[in-house]
Amino acid sequence: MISTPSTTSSGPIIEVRHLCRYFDRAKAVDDISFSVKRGQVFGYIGPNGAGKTTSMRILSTLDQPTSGDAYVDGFSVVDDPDRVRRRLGFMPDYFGTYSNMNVVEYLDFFARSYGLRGDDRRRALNYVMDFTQLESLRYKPIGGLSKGMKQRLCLGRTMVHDPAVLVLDEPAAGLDPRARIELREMIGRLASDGKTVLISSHILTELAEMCDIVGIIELGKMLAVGSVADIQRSQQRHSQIRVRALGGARPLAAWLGERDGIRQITAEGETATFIHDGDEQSEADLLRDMIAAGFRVAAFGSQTKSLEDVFMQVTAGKVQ
Amino acid sequence: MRQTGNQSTMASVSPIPQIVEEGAAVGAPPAFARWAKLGAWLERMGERLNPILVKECRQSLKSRQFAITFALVLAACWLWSIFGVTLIGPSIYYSGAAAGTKMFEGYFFILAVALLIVVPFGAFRSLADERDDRTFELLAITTLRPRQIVAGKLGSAIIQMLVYLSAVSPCLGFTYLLRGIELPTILLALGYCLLTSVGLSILCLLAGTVALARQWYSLLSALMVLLLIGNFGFTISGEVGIVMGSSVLNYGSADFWHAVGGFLLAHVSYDTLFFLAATARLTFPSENRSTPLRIAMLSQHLLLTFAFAWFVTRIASNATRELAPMLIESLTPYCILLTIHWYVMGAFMTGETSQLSDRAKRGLPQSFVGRAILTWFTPGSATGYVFAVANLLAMTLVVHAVLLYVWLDPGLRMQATLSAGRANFDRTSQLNLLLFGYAAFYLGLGRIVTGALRRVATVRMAGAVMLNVLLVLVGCITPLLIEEIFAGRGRWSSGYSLLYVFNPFYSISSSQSSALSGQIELALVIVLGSASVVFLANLRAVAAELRRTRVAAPERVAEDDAALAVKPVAIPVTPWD
Repeated sequence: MISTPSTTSSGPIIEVRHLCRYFDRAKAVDDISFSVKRGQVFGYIGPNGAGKTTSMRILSTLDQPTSGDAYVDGFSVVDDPDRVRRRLGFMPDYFGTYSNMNVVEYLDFFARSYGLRGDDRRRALNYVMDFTQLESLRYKPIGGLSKGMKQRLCLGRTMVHDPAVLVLDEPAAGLDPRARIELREMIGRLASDGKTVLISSHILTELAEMCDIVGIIELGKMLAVGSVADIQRSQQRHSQIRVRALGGARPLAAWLGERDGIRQITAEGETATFIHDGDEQSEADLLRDMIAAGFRVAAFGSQTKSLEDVFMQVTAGKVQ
Repeated sequence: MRQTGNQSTMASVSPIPQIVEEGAAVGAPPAFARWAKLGAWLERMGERLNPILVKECRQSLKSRQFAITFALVLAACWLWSIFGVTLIGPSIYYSGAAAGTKMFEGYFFILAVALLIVVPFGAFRSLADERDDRTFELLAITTLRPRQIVAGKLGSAIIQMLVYLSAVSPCLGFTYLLRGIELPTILLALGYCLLTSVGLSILCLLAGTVALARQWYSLLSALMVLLLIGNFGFTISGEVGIVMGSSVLNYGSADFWHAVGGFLLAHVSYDTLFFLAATARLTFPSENRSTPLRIAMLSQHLLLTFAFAWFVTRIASNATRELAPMLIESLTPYCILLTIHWYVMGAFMTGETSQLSDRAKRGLPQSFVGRAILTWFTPGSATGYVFAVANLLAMTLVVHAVLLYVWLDPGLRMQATLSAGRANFDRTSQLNLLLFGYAAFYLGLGRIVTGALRRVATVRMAGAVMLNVLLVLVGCITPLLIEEIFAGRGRWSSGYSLLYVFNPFYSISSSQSSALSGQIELALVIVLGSASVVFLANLRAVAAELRRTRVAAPERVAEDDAALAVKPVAIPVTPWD
């Protein structure tokens, strides 16, 4: 019988403290810190060679930090890797499948390796097969599976011992659109089941939809951590605003031109577009002043940056 | 699905499958019921099997390599049966003495190819395959312990050995029926082969753990092939020795079985050491990987010492007192074996780092007595150095105790001094002290140099071991170079001088010559003095490692331990529960 973790810490389920990993002089991970609460989906974003995989490997107890530590459910990945392993499932960016094995044998082996015995193991296998929809491929040799099916199998292997934390390194890489959508749905289901998911991906639009918080890493340094909206806000020191003023935008444009912090004003018909340097509060003040000045504002909207825009703004595109 | 309720959540998502084994037994005819019970029992036993063993058996028995080798072994046995019987001809009916032996050697050769080459190399490959298939990391992050991984791979190798043996066993039975070879001889030869195969498989698994690092793979593959082929010849000659010498082997003699037992113990002790070393290599770096190995090393020392003590008591008995000179002579291999043992082990131990993880500190001894005795078993290069030196010192004490015992017993002393007077005593004592001094000196020096290098660069354990070997080589080669430079070509061969004092091989071989006794005595003083200086130079590091104290496990770990210690409440499944 698996030594099922029966207690949980009250703090964050993942806590990374000043983590560093150096390979000789190269700083793969350089003093990163962040934490993830239970049930959150954390998106790990960064260019290739930024240090995502290295930090995920440390978190999964596959590598040791040069300094610093990381905690999973309150257990140090350095000092208590065995306890961390019971609580964490890691899906690397490769398949790692055995030859001469079929789907059920593969999952059965990993279930046994996590200490599941007897009915517990059978239940776990049935659940995983059902979840990943691999039931019909139960006795199919692994070598004959498609990439998407192998990815499902690997997800099944990762969750066979019912870990509280799932660390998924580029799970959607190389999958066709359908397989990617199905995988995203599965991760969504895991998140709704209360699992904490730490996921890295290059497909930022998907991450933006899926993640509660994201961390942007480059050259081993964490550049920004927080919810997508928070990061957008923190990075957005100026916004593009579009205003529709009834009766024509030209007087409005002239009025705007006299104000500080407003530039690149264009007016066309009833719509004026301009760049406003300031935060949301300042935008609200501007709208209030506009109405007070007698303009008949029918629409006022600032265009928020997408995660991709934020990513491009935060990172400089450098790699180690 | 949360941690606390994982099983129940799973059950809610996916209904519990019906357990059919027990149900099948109910209402079935008695014969079927028995089979069903047996099936259920086997399944329960299967649950307890090592997962790696299950996986490896599933994989290897389905593999093309196994199928081909198995078919080849069977075909070779058939061919040898036909060819051998044809060769012996009609005389097979009456001149069985030669026929059985000849046929056995043929079958043994076929079996040995599978057991001594194919199976151990398969064990080596099985770990290398994990790296190639990129499955090792997936395995490493499961809750399997490294011991289970190595034991599973070894178990699979043993099962393959048994499968091959079972395929060849009818042929071996056939050789017994032909006469000319006794059953104990067959069993002894097979036992020898199986034991060697197990030992080689463990050694290959140890090499496989090193070969998980890609840069070592090619070199180690070549080394393993050479080792296996070299050992194949050695084992075959051993088997020929057993079969040919079977007429003089006295199976009823206690001495024979003592010798077999001694060989078995020595084999098992090294198998255990290599097994633990393979396990340690797969263990997470923050864990204490050193203590089990140190216990195994000490056990080997004790085993050899007990075997030697048994030998001493046998000789000291009245019936065999004339063998007293042999007793003194036997101290030489005892010293040499133990010095090699502790020098090699010491090179690895002094290659450890002095830093101890918090995890390892949780297990440090706490009481005064515990710290005094057990600290030397804890990881660290300085504790390792003291551990090796202390054991070498124990060896020296044993040797001198035996010498004193023989000297103080008039009967034994008379027998021991009959041919060479006191010289045997002196030479043995000098040899022993030289061995002790050189080992303590070079290990200590190696530790100091490694420590200094580690301040400026990364030195791994393999590097530290190489450094130890390099220091001995420097000690051997430098005097030659000095003499070559200052005395001219060819002059260095003039004989032993104090210039060679740090060449252990030359000094030790020279210590057996009575003509050099004066120089050797001086060399001994220099070597022991240098060893003492090096030991003192290491004391600071020893003191630093001694100051390490136990740290308490974090509260979270204590909470988890307490929760795991509580047995789960049995869930009633029938109205009678």
